[in-house]
Amino acid sequence: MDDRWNLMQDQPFSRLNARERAFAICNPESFIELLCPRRKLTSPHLPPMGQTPQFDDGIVVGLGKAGKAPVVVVSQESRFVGGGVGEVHGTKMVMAIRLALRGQEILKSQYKSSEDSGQVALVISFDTGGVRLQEANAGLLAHSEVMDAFQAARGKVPIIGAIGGTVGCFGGMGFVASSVDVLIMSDVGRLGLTGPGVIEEVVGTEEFDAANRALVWRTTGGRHRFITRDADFIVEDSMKAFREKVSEVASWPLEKISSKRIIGTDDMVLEQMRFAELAASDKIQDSWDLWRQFDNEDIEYLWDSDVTEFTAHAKRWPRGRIGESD
Amino acid sequence: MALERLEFEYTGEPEEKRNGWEYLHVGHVMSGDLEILAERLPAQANASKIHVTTSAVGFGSVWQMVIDEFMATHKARGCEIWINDDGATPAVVKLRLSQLVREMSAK
Repeated sequence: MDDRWNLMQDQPFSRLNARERAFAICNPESFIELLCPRRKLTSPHLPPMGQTPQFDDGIVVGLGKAGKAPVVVVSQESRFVGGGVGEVHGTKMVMAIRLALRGQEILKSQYKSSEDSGQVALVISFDTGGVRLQEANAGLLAHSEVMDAFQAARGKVPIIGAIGGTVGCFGGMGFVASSVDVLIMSDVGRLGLTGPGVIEEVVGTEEFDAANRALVWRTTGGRHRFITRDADFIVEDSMKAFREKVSEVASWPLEKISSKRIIGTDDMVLEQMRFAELAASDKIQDSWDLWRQFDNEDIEYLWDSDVTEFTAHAKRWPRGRIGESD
Repeated sequence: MALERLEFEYTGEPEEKRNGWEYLHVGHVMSGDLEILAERLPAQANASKIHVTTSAVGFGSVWQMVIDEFMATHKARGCEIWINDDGATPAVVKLRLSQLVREMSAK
């Protein structure tokens, strides 16, 4: 078991499947899967449409430890229907959040301080295009239930998101990933609402060329999301890098983790709307115009540098002070 | 549009070597691929059941051939195997089955 764990740490995060990610993001020999494939909890909606179901419905949930913190882990599998969120998939995610909340309450009631008990954290590895179209209504409902559970967990259970899979995080799950406390991304990871292919199909190649990989990544990729503060950290595309960052963040005091949220209150929503206004203005034609707006000068250097250098030199959206200099 | 469900049963002496696995899972449901779940049936050491769910309708005889060959070569008895297939070719099915066998002997 340890060998397998060690082997995975050196792998690119993007190459591992959902189960491997969940297993390897926890300490060695600590991960236990809940509702594993053996339970055969499959989608009731797919078979009537001629689509083969998968025994875990494209999502792995379980318990483990990350550093000293007990964690509830959720990990989406993009190979199965593009990581689409259906009824069972969504329910597993919602129940995992509630489980983390319940676990935290139990710990709190049994120990006097969080130093004695440790603190339960929720870790979600997103790799999804959002709602699974075959079960659209159930999928949409699942999204709203997840958001609801996030709000219930607010200030109680730290929620750490990770995006570094080959699909990234799009559609309704883009909203969900934006409402976690701390979001960790890699260069491979992408975050957005409408996926590049859909934009191209609806408004045309002139507006957005989904085949232009450089354009897609500089618009939705981890570096841009770091500058716009959707992502809190950008790490190498390695399992080890993601695991170490998750363990580090999970050990922070709850207040510090919660303070990283960018939406969820009226003020934060207004702040995001002011930001959207800037991004939609005429002077911003490309994501790099936005970078320049925040006083980043050598864009090419920032784009090509490794993530450590990038993190050290990138100037990010000065929250609450749009239009002023950083 | 509907899925096809197939069942196969085999009896006979199992392979001598019995490993400690209880449950195994390999593969993914994606176009041209499949997932396989295997569960040990301790009470029926000489029989095996295979359930196939596939989106490619009308290939029962091909499945029969592929699985006959697998069961003749590996004599996996005393287990129940569930296959969820999304149009994998026989070559891919065999690849996943040999992956399963590798996992069976690794545990």
